[in-house]
Amino acid sequence: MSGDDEDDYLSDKFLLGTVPAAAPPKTYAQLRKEADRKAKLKNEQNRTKSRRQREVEAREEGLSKSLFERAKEEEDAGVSSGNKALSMMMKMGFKPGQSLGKVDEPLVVSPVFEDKSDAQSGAPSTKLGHIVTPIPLNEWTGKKGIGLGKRARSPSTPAERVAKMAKMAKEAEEISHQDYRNRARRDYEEKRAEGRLGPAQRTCVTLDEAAGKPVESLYLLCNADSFPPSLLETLTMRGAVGLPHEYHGEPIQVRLRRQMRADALQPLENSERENESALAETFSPELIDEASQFLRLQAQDRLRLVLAYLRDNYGYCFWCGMQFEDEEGMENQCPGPDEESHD
Amino acid sequence: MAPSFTLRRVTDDLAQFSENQIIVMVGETGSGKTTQIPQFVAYSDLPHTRGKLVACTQPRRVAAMSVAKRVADEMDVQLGRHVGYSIRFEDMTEPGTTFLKYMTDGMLLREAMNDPDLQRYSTIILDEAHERTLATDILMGLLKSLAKRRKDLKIIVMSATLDALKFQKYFGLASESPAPLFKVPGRTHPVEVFYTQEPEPDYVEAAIRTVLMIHRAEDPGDILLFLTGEEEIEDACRKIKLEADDLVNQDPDSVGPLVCIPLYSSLPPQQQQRIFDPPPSARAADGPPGRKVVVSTNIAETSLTIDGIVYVVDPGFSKQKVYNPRIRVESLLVSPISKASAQQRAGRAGRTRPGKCFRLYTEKDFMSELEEQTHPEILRSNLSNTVLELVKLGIKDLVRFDYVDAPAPETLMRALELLNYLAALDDEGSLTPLGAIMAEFPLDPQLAKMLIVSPEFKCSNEMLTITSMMSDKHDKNWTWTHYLSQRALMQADNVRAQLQRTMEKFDVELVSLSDERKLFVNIRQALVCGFFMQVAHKEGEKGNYLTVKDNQVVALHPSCGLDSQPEWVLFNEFVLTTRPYIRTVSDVKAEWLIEFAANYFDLASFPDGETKRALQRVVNKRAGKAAGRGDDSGADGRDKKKRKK
Repeated sequence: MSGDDEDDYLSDKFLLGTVPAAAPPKTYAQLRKEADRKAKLKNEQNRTKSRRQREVEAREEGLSKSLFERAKEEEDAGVSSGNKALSMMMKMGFKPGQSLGKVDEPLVVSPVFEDKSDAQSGAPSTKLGHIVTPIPLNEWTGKKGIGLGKRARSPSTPAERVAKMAKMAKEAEEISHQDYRNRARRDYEEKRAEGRLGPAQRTCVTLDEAAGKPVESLYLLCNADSFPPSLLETLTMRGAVGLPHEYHGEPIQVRLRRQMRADALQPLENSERENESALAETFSPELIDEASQFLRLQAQDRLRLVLAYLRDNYGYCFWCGMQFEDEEGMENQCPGPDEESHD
Repeated sequence: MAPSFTLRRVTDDLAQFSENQIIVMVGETGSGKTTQIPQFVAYSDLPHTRGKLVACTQPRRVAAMSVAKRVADEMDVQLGRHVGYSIRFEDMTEPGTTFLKYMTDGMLLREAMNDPDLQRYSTIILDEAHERTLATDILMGLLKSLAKRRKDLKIIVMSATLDALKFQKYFGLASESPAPLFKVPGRTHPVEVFYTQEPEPDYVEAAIRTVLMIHRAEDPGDILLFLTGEEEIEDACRKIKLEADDLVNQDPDSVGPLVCIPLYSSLPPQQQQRIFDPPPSARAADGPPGRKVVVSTNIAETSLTIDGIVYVVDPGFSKQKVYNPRIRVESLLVSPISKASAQQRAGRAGRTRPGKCFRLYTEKDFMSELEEQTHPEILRSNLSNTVLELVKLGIKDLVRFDYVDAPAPETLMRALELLNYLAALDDEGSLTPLGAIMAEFPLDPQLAKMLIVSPEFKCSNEMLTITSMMSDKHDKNWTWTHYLSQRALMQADNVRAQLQRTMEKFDVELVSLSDERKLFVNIRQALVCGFFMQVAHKEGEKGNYLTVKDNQVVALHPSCGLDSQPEWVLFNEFVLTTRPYIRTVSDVKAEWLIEFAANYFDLASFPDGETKRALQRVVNKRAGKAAGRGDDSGADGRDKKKRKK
C-alpha cells in the first residue's frame, strides 16, 4: 500500500515549491532533510483524500482479499513460515476454497456422484449448501426503499448455483420440443452465442485475475473441449438432469466429430482416466459439479451466466464493452443487460 | 393466560413423542408451546422418578426467567424448586427436586462442556430454534450426535416458522426419513398483506405517510411501524405527531387523537413500558377513538408482544450485526430484511383480531430482492468463544463438524488464530491446560486470559471488577426490553462472586497493589495480555488510527472518554456503523506490546508499514538503552524480572 504512495524523487510535483537539489544529498543532515520533505509531501497527499475515502479504501482492500490469499502471500514473501490457524484446519481436512461442514464420503471423486441423488429431488443437499466466503458488508445508502438500492448479495453457494443451472437446463429441454422454425432460429442463436462465449470468458479471466479471485467463477470458464469428456459423460449418465438429445443444441454430427478429435488426442483410455482423477484432485468436487452442470447448458444460457457474473461482480457490460465505475454509472449509461437493448 | 388448545391433540402428539427420539414442533409465537409443551413432557416423562430432568432452552435469559416463573405459577409450585431456571451467573434450581428447568441455550452448551453426554436430562427441548442463535445451532449439532450415543434421550426442536423442513431433514435419522413434524395449533388471525405499486424513493417518508393514511381511513386498532434505529425512530415519532396534530386541528370530528411511542433497546425501562399503555381515549364521548402507534426496531419482531396491534407497517429494513473475519470488524448496518422476517412482522398484526400489513415495497421486489431467511447467527458472528467451548467439549474436527449451516472457513481460521496466540490452543489445535481453565470462565477468551494472568500484575481484584462489569453488557439490552429492573437483573455483585469462585477453583489469587499509580499501569499491562490482537496505532495528527495488521482506518468512538489521543490504543470492539469506530479503548505503550505479546508483535513476520516502523523504533531504542547501561536496571526492567520469575 505504502509502496505506491512513495513519491518519485524526480517528479515535478516534488520540485515544486522546494529548493532544487543540485547534487544528490550526501551528509546525514541532508538525508534527514530529504526524508522529512518526503514525509511531508506524502502527508499532504493523504490529506487531500478525505478521511471517509481512506476508510472506505482500506476497508475494500481488506475485504477483497481472503485470509487464505493473505496467508499465501505472506508465506511466499517469506515473512511467515505458514499460517498456524490455516495449517490446523488443513490437518482437519480443510482445503482453501471448500466450505466447512460434514461430508458423508471421504473427499475423493465419489462425492460428486453421490450428490446427484439430492439434485434429483430438486433440493440441493445441505452438505454442499454451506458458504465458502464470509457474508459481505454492504452499506445501504440513504433512505431508498427496497427495489431501488443495492442489496448485499449473500455469497452464492455452489449448491445454489448448481440448482439455478439445473433449472436453466430443464427449461432448455422444454424448448427443444418446439416446432421446426423455432428450432432453426434457436440453432442460429446458439451458434452466435457460442461465438461470443469465448471473448466473454476471456474477459472474465482478465477481470478475475486482476481482482485476484479465481475460485468463485472457475466453472464459468469451462468449455467442452477442455473438460475430460469421459468425466462429463459419467456425470451426465448419473445426472439428475437429463441431457437434451441435441447436446447444446448443436447437431449430433458436430459433437461426434469433436468427440473423435478429442479422443484422437488422447488415444489411451488410461491417460484419460488419469487426467480425470488429476482433475478431481485439483478441483473441489463442488467445482467439478458446477462445471459439468454448466457445460450441460445451452450456449445462450452459459453466455447469460458469464455476462451476469461480469455485470454483478465487476460492473462490466459485455455489450457496451466497458466497465462502469459504480452501479449508478451503469444504470445511467448502460441501456440494459441484454443484447437487444444495445441495438 | 394458559392457551386453550385441546388436550386431546396434545395427547396424540405425546404418543408420537414417546415413539420418536427426535421430533420437530412448529407453532406460532403465542401458541403457548413454550409454556405448555414442557409441562406435558414433564408429566409424561416423569423424569424425577429416574433422577433426571427436562430442559427447555431459550435464546434469551429474560425469557428463561419469565417463562419459568409463569410455568411455576401455572403448576402452582414454587419457582426454583420443582420448576426452575438457569442462566449465566444465576442458578435457580434445586438439585434432586427440580424436574423442569428453563435455561438459556448458552447455559446448556456450557453444561455440555463438563458433561458431554448431558446425563442429567431425560428430554431436551430446544425452543425458538427458528431464531438460529449461535448456541442453539451448536446444540443442534451436538444433540444430533448425542442422540446416537444416548438412545434414552428425547429431543424436541420447537420452531415458530415454516422453516421446519430444514430441521426435519437435519435430524432425519437417514437422509430419506426426515424427523417427524407436529404442529401446535396457533391462535393467530388472518393478516391481509398490501404492497406498494412502485418502489419507494424514501422509506421513512413513505412509512410516515402510511401511518397517517391508516389513522385517517382505517378502523380502530393500534399500529406497529418497524424502523431501523434510535435516531430514525425518534425522528419519525416527531414527524408523525406533528402531522397527526395537524389532521386533528383541520378535522377534529373525523380524526381521533394519536400517541406515538418509540421502542428500541437503549431506551430506559420506564419509557419502554409506555408501549403497553392503552391508546388515548376519544376527545368527546361520541368522537373518533384514539390510536396508539409504536415505532420500533426489530425487537418487536420476535421477542416482544404488544396487544392491540392491528396494523403493521413494514419498510423492509433492519440493522443487522455481521462479523467479517477479513478485517475483524463487527458491522451494524441497515440492510433489507428476509422474507421470513417480513412474514414474522406481518404476523404481529394478527394477534388480537384480523389485521393488515402494509409492505412499503412491491410484491415483485419482495420475491426477488429479499433473501429467504435471515442469516443464522453462526454465519454472522465471531466464533472464538464458541470454538474454545467446542474444543473443550472434545470436538476435535471443527472442519467437518455437522453444522446446520457451516460458518465461513475464514471465521474459523480467525478463531483458531486468536486462541493459539492466547495460548489456549497449541499448534496442533489441542486444548492447553491454560485453555482448559479459560474455557471454565463464562467469558470471552480475551477476558478470561486477562483475568488469569492478572495476579502476576498484582491487580486481580481490580480485573475481576472490570470483567464483571464488561461481561454483562450484552444482556443489558434485554433487561431494558423486558422492563425489569436492570439493577436487580444485572447483579454485578452476583457476577463478581461467581467469577471469583471460578478463580478460586483454579487458584487464581486475588491481589491488589496499594500504590495506585503503579496499579493503574499494571491494570493496563494485564489488559495487553488479553487484548493484544486488538490494538490500533495513531497515524498523523488528525485522530486517525490504523488497526494493527489489518490496516483499517478507524476513529475513536465518541463515547470513549479519552481526553488525549495516545499513540497506541487497545480496544474492546471494532464496529462499523456510520463509520468505522473502535470502542472501549485504553492507552497502552508499545514497549508492553513487544514485551507481553512478543509472538504477535514479532517484527520479522510483521507486515510492512508505518506501524512496523514505529515498533522498530521502540525496539531499537530499547536495545540501545540496554547496551548503553549494560543491565536492565530501568523501571521496566525491574517489573519484567519480577514477573518472569
